Formats: sequence, C-alpha cells, structure tokens
Amino acid sequence: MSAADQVERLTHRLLEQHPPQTTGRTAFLAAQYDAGLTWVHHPAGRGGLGGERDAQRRVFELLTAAGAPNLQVESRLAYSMGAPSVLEWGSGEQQERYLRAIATGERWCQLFSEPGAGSDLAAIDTRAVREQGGWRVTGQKVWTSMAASSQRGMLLARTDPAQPKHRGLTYFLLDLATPGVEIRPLRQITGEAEFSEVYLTDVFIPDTDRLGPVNAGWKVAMSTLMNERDMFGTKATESGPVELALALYRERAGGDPDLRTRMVRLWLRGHVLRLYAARAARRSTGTPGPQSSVSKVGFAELNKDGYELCLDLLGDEALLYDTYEPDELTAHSGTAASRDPRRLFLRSRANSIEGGTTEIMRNILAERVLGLPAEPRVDKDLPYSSLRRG
Amino acid sequence: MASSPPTAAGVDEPDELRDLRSTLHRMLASTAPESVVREHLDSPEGFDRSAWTRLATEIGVQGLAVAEEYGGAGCGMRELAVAGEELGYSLFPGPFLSTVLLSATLIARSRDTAAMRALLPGIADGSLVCTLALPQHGAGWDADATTVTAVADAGTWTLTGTIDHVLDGQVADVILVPARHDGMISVFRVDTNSPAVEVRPTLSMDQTRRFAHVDLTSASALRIGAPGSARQLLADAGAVGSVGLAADQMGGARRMLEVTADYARTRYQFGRPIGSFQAVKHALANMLISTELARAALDDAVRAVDENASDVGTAVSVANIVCSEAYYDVAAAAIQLHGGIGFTWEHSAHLYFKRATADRVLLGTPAHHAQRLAGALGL
Repeated sequence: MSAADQVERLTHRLLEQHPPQTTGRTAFLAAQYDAGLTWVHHPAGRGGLGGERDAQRRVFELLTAAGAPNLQVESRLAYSMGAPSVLEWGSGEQQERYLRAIATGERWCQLFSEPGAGSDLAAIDTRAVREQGGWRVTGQKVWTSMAASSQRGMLLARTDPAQPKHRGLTYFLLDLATPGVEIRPLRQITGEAEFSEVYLTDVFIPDTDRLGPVNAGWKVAMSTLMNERDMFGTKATESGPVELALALYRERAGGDPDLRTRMVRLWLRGHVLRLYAARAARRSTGTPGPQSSVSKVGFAELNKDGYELCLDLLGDEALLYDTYEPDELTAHSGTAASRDPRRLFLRSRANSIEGGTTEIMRNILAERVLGLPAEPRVDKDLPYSSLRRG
Repeated sequence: MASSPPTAAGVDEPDELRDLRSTLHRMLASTAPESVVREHLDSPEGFDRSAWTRLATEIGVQGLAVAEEYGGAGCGMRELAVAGEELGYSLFPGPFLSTVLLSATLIARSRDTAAMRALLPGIADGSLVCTLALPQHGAGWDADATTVTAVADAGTWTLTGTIDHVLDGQVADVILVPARHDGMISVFRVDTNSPAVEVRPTLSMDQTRRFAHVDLTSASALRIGAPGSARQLLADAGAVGSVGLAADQMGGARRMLEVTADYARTRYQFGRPIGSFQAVKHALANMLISTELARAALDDAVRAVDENASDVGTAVSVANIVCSEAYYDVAAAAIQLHGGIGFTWEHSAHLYFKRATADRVLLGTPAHHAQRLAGALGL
C-alpha cells in the first residue's frame, strides 16, 4: 500500500471512529492529532506519521467533505507558522505541549512588527528583562491579525540591547490572558479593523514559554517568516481581481478599446503568474525559496492594477462606498467579508506592503538569487542601544 | 553567495534534454562565439556555414524534429525549444527559425511524401536552407495577405508576385510560398537558382537576422500538400516558429541578465559595486522577474504544442507576448545599467537589443497577439 493510500485509509478510520457530527470539536481534533493526521509530515507522537507534506492536502479534503474542523483555515497562523517553528526549535516537552494545543484548536497570532520596526524587523524595541522564573516584558506591537480571537502570541522581544540588533532578540510564546496584555483594534484604509495593536505592560512570561535559546530569537523568527511568505504565495493564487474584472467588463465596457487592452493584459498577467506558481509548486523542495518573492511581487501588482481596472469599469459608481462601519467578523477572521470591488480596491493597496514589501522582495531576489552585494548596513555591528531610531 | 537562479537553464530538465542543452551550449561557445557572430554581421550569407554544418553533423540540431525515416531524430517541440534557447543565448545567426522551425514543420505537416523526401533529408543534414515566405500585413502575418498568384499550365505551376521581408531569403535554396489560385491558397515550393526568381538582400536592423525582397516572374513551382491547405499549414508552422522564437527570446534574456548582473557586481562607482545601489538592484530584480515569468509561459507553450492541446493558440500567443516583452525589456535595461559602454558598438548589448527588437516583430507584435488573445477570450 502506498503512503498516500495509508493516509487516506487512516483518515477514513478517524472519521468512522469519531464521526464529526456526533463528536465534540476538541475531542475530534485530539483524536486527529493522536492518529498522526494533523501534520502528516511531522514525526509520530508529534501529530504526524513521518510522511510526505503533500499528503496533508488529501486529509483536509476528506475532513472538509465530512464536515470536520479544518485547522489550516480556522487557526491559520498557529497551524502553518507556529507549528513548524515549534517543531524546529522547541524542547521535547514544548513540542508535546504546544503542538497538542494547536492541534486541539488553540489560535495564535504574531507579535513581531512594531511602530518603529517595519521592514527593519530586527530593530524591534519591546524589552524582555529576566526575573525569577521568567521574563518581564514591556512594549508595543502592531499589525497583529486576529489578536482578539487568539490564545497565544508568537512574540519577538529584545533581551540584550548591548548587542547588535539581530543578536539580542529572544522568541517567546505569550499566553494572551496574562495581565498587562491589552488589545486595541487598528482601523485601516477600508474602515475595517483586520488587525490590532497589542500593548504589553509589565507582562510576565515564564521561561518555559521561551522558544529557542536566549538571544537566538532572530533565527527562530526567520523560520516563522519563511512559512508566512509561503502561505501568502498560495493565498494570493486563490483570489485576485481577474474574474471580477472580467464580469464587470462583460457588463459594462461597451467596446472601449483601451479597456479591452487593459482587460486582456490583466488576464494575461494573472494567467502567467498562475503558470509560474504551478511550476514552482511542481519543483518545490518543501522549503519556501526566493521564487516565492517573484510570486509575491507579481500578485501584489496584479491585484492593485486589477482592482484599478475594476474601478474604471465601475465608472461613476466608484465615487461611492458600501460602508465604513467596522465589522466584528473581520477582526475575528482576519479577512473582510465584503467583496465589494471598491473595498477590495482599497484593500489591495496593502498587498505590496504586507508580508514583506515589494522593495524588500526585490532586494531578496537581487541579493540571494543574482548574488548582488548587500546595501552597506551602517547599524550591523553596533550595539542596539546606540542606534538612531525613529 | 548566489543560489542557483531559478531561471538557470536545465535545472529541472530530464537528463536527455539537459545533455542536449549542455552539448549545444559548449559547441556554440567554441564554434560560434561572439567574435564569429561579429565577423558575419555584414558577410553576404550572414552566418558561418562551417558552424551550421557542425550543428547538423555533430549534434543533429537541424533534424531534431524531422522524422527518422528522413534522417532526423523524430523529437518534438521540447527539443526544438532547448536548441532555440541556446542559439538565442549565443546570438547564433544561422537559418534555424526559417529552415528548421518554419519550413521543416510545414513540410512535415503537409504529409506530402514527395516534398518530404525531396527536402527533409537536406534540411536534417544541414546542406539545404529553406525558408517560408510568410505574408506580412504590418503587425502580423496571415495566409490571406498573400499577393502571389499561381497558374497551372499543362500540369506545371508557375508563380508570379512580390514578397517583402523573406527571412534568410539571401541564402535560401528553396522558398515556400503561399499563393492564390482557383479561389484558394496553397503552398508552393520555388527554387532560388531559377532566373525567374530574383532575390534582393535588404539591410536589417538586427544583422543576425537577414531579410530579402523576392520577385517571382512566372517562376516554376511545385505545390506542397493538399490544394487550399495553406492556412492550416501556415498556422501549424507558425505555432512551432512562435514557440521556437520565444525560446530564442528566453535565451537572449537569460544571457543579458547574466552579463548585467556580472557587471553590477564588478563595476565600482562611488566606492561601491553599482549592484549594491537599490536603483540598480531593483532594476535587475525586475529583469529576473520578467525572465522567470517568461520561462513559465514558454514551458506552457512547449507543452501545448507537443500535446497538440486545445489551448495551443492561446498558449502560443501568451508565450509570444510575454517572451517578446521580457527579452526587449531585459535587453533595454542591460544597455541602461551598463551606462556608456552599453551604447557602444564594441559591447554585446546592442546586438541582443537589436535581436530583441526584431524578434518581437518577426511573427507578430505583442499588440497583435494581444488582440488575438482578446478574441479568444471573447472580449
């Protein structure tokens, strides 16, 4: 029996023994974890079977068809970014504890970016000071998706300001119910609040919630971020303005030759990016590589130009907007429910900023793929405490 | 340290393709380096016969897609695209597009055994240069644009008319000509050694691709394929030619990207390699992105032709647009990023830029193919 058949057989058995309709959500997820079907590529005992990563897709197809929970959708960050970081950096005890928690439905958010540290993530200023049994943390995080509906945050904090910026960081997994954690919605250009600001004031974190060695947080954060970029790449291929623009075009363009050219050009770009993504997936080694930067840049520009075309097709209806009232559900899911083209147009402005700006992506391509020399980094070897900030 | 560029040719190719690519790459580097290309920029034939012959006898490039019974290897678009890409990389000026991609395809698709027997073995062994006189109508080509007429007299055909921009006309032994007769359009073979065929070479912007003006005055001709089959034969040959041309563009873009990245790493201004400045770095990243996306479009068109897929027309137009624009943009950026030296005759950049300019017009401009796509999408 092939490995794929085995995964399929185990999934069917899980669904038979724990029918999703009559089994509690947590109980079902725990049984899925124990059966090694949460991350099939993880080792046995860690929610997996030591199998191929690809086989997981089939598990989710079967689970979704049977009405079972799908963690890849419901707790995207914990499942796709938290778990690989824990598996790579956690102690045996931490792996058992966190992976089981994620597998049974715990939701995580990301506490990396700060008002003073965007593209230059290593410049974060949130401080963690050692004390008896753990750490005391103070600072401000921003652009946190789904903070209010998460139980734990992947937190990057500065533990040694005397070291150069990359070296004095440590990675924690913060229990968001801890006193001193305050979550405020961050309203954005669309009027909604997909993201939050998270204020940390004298928050205590036990040392057992530190992931990876003290002052090695940058490396841990990198494994989290590599998985984020990969997630963005796949997410971007599923959505996009081409279909919407085609529908509006057929309804409204009325033979305008300029709109026709723009429409065919938009279709062409979307088509080639899909061909490229499919090609990259066929050649994937499992670890996201620099080619995901090509997709990231391409889809960001496609989305922005595509929704611009949608707006031009709308004509004077582009003067209006559906609602600027924030929607509760948006903060919970991290995705706006409205598919109004005008809202999507505004939302698309972030596509070339979030998950690594287009400028940073071009640096990555030029430096890592073409081997061009890095920008001179004036702050590279200086103690963080002596850097100019602002 | 640079990781292997995703565009690096041959990265994920099956062994037999990779072998073809590396053998051809090595041979072109030794027998047709840029110095040889330059020697022939204004030679009468425009390319080095001995290099062309060696491609046939030592690797079998001209016969890659010719059936085995006619002296070829019986391969398909995949192999032709690998060859086209390496020839484009080295700027090879021989009649690959005219003879191998367009003519050999048309002859084979005609299922005309007399024509196949007469012409394909010579094409495969490199001794026969053959071209297809595609009727041009400004931005693209169309069988219906032909103005040549064919007349039959006692079972013998003669052709009369004028054709502009016949690719490799200056060196062709045989020209395949679509001509009108009896309310239809068929393809005819005309041999250039006849006094009724007058070939006048023209000066082309891209001196690695030559064109000629051809006058036919009751020139003896043989019909190839079924009467009235010109539209289909030209469409088939045009698809293979377009994908081979896209491969040429891919190869040229790859070369210009490599050369320019090398230059940006080693050219110093303001005490730094110019590649450390983001204005330069981002321009190179854009060249890489264009080249990467062009490769995806090319691969898809190769697949569509080899599988004779239902979307072949779309895939060919997509590859034509994306590869034309990628090569042109990359070659233009190569000149800009090299600064003054990039504008000189001695530097390679202008040769590639001119080929990129010719390539994007040769089998239909991007705008022409975009209109075709729009039609196919029902816009």
